[in-house]
Amino acid sequence: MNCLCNLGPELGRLGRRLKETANLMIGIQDYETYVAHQGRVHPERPVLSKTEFFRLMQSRRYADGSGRGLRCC
Amino acid sequence: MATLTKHSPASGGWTYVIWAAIAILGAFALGIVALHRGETINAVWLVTAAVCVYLLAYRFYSVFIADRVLQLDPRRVTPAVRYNDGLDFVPTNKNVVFGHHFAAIAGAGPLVGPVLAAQMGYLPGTLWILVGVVFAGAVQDFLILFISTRRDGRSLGEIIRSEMGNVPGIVALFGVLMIMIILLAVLALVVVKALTGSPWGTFTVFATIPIAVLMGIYSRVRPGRILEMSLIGFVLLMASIVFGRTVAETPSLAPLFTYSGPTLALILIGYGFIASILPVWLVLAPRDYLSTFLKIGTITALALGILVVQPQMQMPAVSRFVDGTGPVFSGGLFPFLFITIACGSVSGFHALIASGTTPKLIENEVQTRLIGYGAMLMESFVAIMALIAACVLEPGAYFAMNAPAALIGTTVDQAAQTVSNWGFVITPDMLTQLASDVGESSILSRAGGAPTLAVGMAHILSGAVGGKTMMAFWYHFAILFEALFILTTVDAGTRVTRFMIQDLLGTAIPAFKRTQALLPNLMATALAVAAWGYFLYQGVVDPLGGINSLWPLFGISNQMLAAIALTLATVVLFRMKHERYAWVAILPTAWLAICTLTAGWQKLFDSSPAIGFLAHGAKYRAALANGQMLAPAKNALEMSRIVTNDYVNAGLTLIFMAVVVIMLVYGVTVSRQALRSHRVSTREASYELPVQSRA
Repeated sequence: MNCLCNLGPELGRLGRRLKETANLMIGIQDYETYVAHQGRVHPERPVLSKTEFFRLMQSRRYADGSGRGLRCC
Repeated sequence: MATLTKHSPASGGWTYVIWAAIAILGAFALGIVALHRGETINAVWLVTAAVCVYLLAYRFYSVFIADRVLQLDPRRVTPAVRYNDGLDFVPTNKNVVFGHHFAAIAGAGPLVGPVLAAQMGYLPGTLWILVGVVFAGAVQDFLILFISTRRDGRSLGEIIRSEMGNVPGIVALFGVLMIMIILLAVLALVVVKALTGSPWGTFTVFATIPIAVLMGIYSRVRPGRILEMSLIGFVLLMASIVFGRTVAETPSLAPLFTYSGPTLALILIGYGFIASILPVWLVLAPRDYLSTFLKIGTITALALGILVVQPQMQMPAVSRFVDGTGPVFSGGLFPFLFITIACGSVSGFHALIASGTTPKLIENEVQTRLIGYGAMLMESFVAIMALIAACVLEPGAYFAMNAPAALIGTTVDQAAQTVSNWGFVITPDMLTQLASDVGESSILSRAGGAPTLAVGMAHILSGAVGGKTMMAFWYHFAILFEALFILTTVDAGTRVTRFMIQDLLGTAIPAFKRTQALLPNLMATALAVAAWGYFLYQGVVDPLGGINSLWPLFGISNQMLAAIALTLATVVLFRMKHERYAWVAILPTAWLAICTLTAGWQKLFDSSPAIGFLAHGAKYRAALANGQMLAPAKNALEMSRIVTNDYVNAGLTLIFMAVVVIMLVYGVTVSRQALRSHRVSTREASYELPVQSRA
């Protein structure tokens, strides 16, 4: 029964991981990780909004010479 | 030594029993695949053999490389930790990085090469995919990922420059530019071959552009809602497949989407130019999202389909075409099998990915084993599935689909007769029936992998869901799925190529370096598109189908890049003073060098016009001198254009060979220097965090 009680949070974690994986596959870093990082390391700097963060990630993936959007054959 | 104990088998006897059982099962399955003759075998045996080989290789060989060869150190700080900025460098869960890395390395390559190689039967391809991935492909990905992770996630070109010198660095970059151009041309050719004369396919592929634009606009209205926009896109895509049938069956609509090969090539070239100068959020990004998710979904569906349907392999284990007379591509088993199947066995292109974003995400360097070696095993499995999809077809149908019209004619009667004479019995009715099953007017001479794979997938998936009535849907789904991510590659690849050209020309004409300025941008884009467009167009009009000349060029260039990457890995092992284990990298380097140089030599100097570019050129030049016209040329101008193409291809082959030789010479020289020296000379980043950032 013990494992059943833990199923909820476990599934939640799995779902979060899957979402994170899907986002990273298309070059979008985890927003929460970014916010946590900014808060921890650069608390004095402004934090990008979710929209700004998404746009930044999108433009960086295909930015000139970044090779981030590079696909194998 | 901590890592040694970490990976050693648990002392419990059960683990030994389980691994012994996997070894026995794998050997048994391989035995069935390799030795069974006469009756057909079930595809599940191939899957079993492959999975057992992967498990054993991952459990033993990759651990050997991790512990002995590289001596991975879990205490060492990775670039993600050192430079953590929440944007580029982010320590990320290893499974998440695995997914990211797999999505970046798995493209159209592992789906095309094995389908072409199926002309020699399923056994040669299977063996090369398995042996190649274990000892070459996965090793390369693992080593390069490790090397880049220890060097702040720097790129392949930069690492070659710092470990081997400036000249090899520039030579390697030049090689990368060449491979990009050939890659884009050959992938675009796959799309052209699939869509020629197919209004259904053409309509659905064209429909992806407005769908992507719609998604792009949606992403501006509701930014970041990727799931929402992808679902909308997916539903619209499926609707376009369904509606495509109506288009194909409506006499007033069908001609609007029916094009010849050359016209499609010109459309693609124009598209490539326009798409790569549009803002990324409008077309490129949304379609990239769609193609990425669709790719993962389709690969999963195909794996499930094979397990559920358990199809029989119809192709013989070894066909008569191992002698080099095959209609799909010319040339003997050695070296051309090893050139034809690059992705899935060993793909040099992965070295660019493994020294790109992935090393900047790794939490701990021991995870490079899972991500580098493991993800490549998975890609290899995709190649095995593609091979299965091609081999579950009736061999006669396979050859009718993949042989050029110059060999089998343009009607089902001629095709059925020629293919039956080769020993693969098929009737005209069967070919007509198959075409109508998948909703096409003809399936003859559609070399390039995509249509064959699509028929194979339709065969498997319709066996799982929908039966025969769904076959046409599944066929066009498979075509769309391949075209979708090929177009994404064409778009993104043109941007990358443009940047490389600007970088290269910029050293001579500084104005070209201004990548934000419109004019240099447009000019470099035009140059990039013209370069791959040239090869695409010559491939489309080639009487032998284009794949025959372009795919070997692509294979040679991809294996050339792998040889470069593995040469670097060898050099690094010597400079680490781990020379005792350098054979791990030397072995695949030597094999790839032998294959690329032999194949290059034959493509240049073989006396058969089907293989040698120079012989082909000479044949057309002699005919031209005698006033004769050889198909497909209809006049002297076209004849001389073919001769020019042959010399261009020959020149390119020569360049690829020269790149390999130069890199090898530098590799040997630098390795010998390292061998003589008594100290470690690698240029790795420091071991620990800088003092001030340690909290």
